[in-house]
Amino acid sequence: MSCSSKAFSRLGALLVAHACACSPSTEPAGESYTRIDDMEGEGSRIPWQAPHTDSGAGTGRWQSFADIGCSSLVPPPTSLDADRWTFTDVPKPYTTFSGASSTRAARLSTTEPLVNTWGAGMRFDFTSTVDSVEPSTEPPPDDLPCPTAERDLSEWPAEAVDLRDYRGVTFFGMADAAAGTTRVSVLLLDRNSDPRGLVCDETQASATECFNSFASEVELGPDFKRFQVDFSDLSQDPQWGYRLDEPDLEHVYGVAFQVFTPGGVCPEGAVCPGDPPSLTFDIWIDDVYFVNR
Amino acid sequence: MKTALCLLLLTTTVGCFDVEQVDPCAGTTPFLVDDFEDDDVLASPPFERWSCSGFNPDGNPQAVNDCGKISRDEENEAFMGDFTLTDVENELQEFTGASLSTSSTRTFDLGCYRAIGLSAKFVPGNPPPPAKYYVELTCQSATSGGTPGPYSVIREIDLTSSWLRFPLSLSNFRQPTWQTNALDGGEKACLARVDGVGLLLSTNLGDGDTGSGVLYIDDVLFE
Repeated sequence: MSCSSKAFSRLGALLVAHACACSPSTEPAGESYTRIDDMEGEGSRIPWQAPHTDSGAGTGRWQSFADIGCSSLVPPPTSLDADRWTFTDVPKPYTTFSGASSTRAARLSTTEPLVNTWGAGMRFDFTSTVDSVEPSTEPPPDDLPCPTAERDLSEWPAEAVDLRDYRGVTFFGMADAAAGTTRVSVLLLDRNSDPRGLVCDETQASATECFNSFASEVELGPDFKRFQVDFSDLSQDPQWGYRLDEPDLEHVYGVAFQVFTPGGVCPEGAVCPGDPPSLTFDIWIDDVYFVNR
Repeated sequence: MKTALCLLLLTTTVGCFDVEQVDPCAGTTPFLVDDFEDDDVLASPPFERWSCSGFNPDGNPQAVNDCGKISRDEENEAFMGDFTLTDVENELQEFTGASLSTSSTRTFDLGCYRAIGLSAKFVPGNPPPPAKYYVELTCQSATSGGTPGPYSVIREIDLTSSWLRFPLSLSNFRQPTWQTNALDGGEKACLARVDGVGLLLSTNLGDGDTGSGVLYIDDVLFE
């Protein structure tokens, strides 16, 4: 029996926890959750299956992304046919939802500084219309290209899903402050900000540019801690891109965890004093669940 | 009798209520954008790193000879940019210029602030450029006719080769004349969503002419 494979209420969670001989849970009373991924499985696909898809799409995948320095990211961003996504053993198993013990998590880290770039991140789509992918076990080459730098997500075809039954997402996270920045933005990739929605414009600096997703920031600490992000608390960067009053919860492609270069980049064509802006980090995300309405 | 007394008390009590005036700007304190006294060139969040850039032509790093912090005196530091500006020889006058600026990916509402204070100077090089100087507050998310910018509001200042302190009332900032589309909501709409602060040097160099100098800024504060 799976410890948490379906939407569960508080009572259901206790029953499931009991059935799994787990210790008491950490979630507050009155909340119920639906598992998206607890990262205990193999491969890059999330366990959560969208209840209704028009195309019969399968479950979505995790991937990392950056515009530069992709050979300096672990796991490295790759094209879909060279999928190298893996989860990582946590330093010490800890108790998560329903008293379950977590042994693995999604970890994204840098091996070299990423220089003068907006940042990097990891994300999962809720669906994928590509059935099977043969993961690569080869180490990434030093000159690994950054597939997401082309701003073209058509290689990851997916169907948007309806999240109106959910109030937000909750997850566990931690970061190594000695490795670099610990602030993470949680983004909802909806139809209006994801180029696959064919609403916004992929062209950089266009008035209706994509990628300005509704988001919220969290500060990760040295130990795993639970965070909750309500969809109603998300906001867009007010400066650029295609902007609306609220996210389109009826059409959502995925969720991203992004790290931005502290202090921002040196503007193109400008001269900035000192060393160029650089980004390093070591962040962990675990047990991502929907918060049910 | 008791009922009448209660009614009287109730009436009196109701009549004594004041409508509490809530000042949305209560508790607003001065916001130090940067005094350049720390170890970096990052302004106070949400503003980010300071940079030096040339414009007209835009994105012209060749115009920047030097950019960084500099000792103002024994105790204080400031930020400076050393520029050599050339109006491209093309039978047109481009009004080439330069700026020291910090920007943000978020907006800052100046609605509860009355002024921006800063110290600045310009030390002309050889040859000195004929120039005007402006403090600029940018607001890329402001709109004109519903269309986003980039837009800004500016205030001209007179710089000398000695440090001067400028307290500049925000009510005197105006949209620059080179922005021909009027801001929706006027200058206030821009001040409500400021995403950049800059000190601009706009030259009046003739076609093909060159001028140089060093622009300094310090102690930038919203008051």
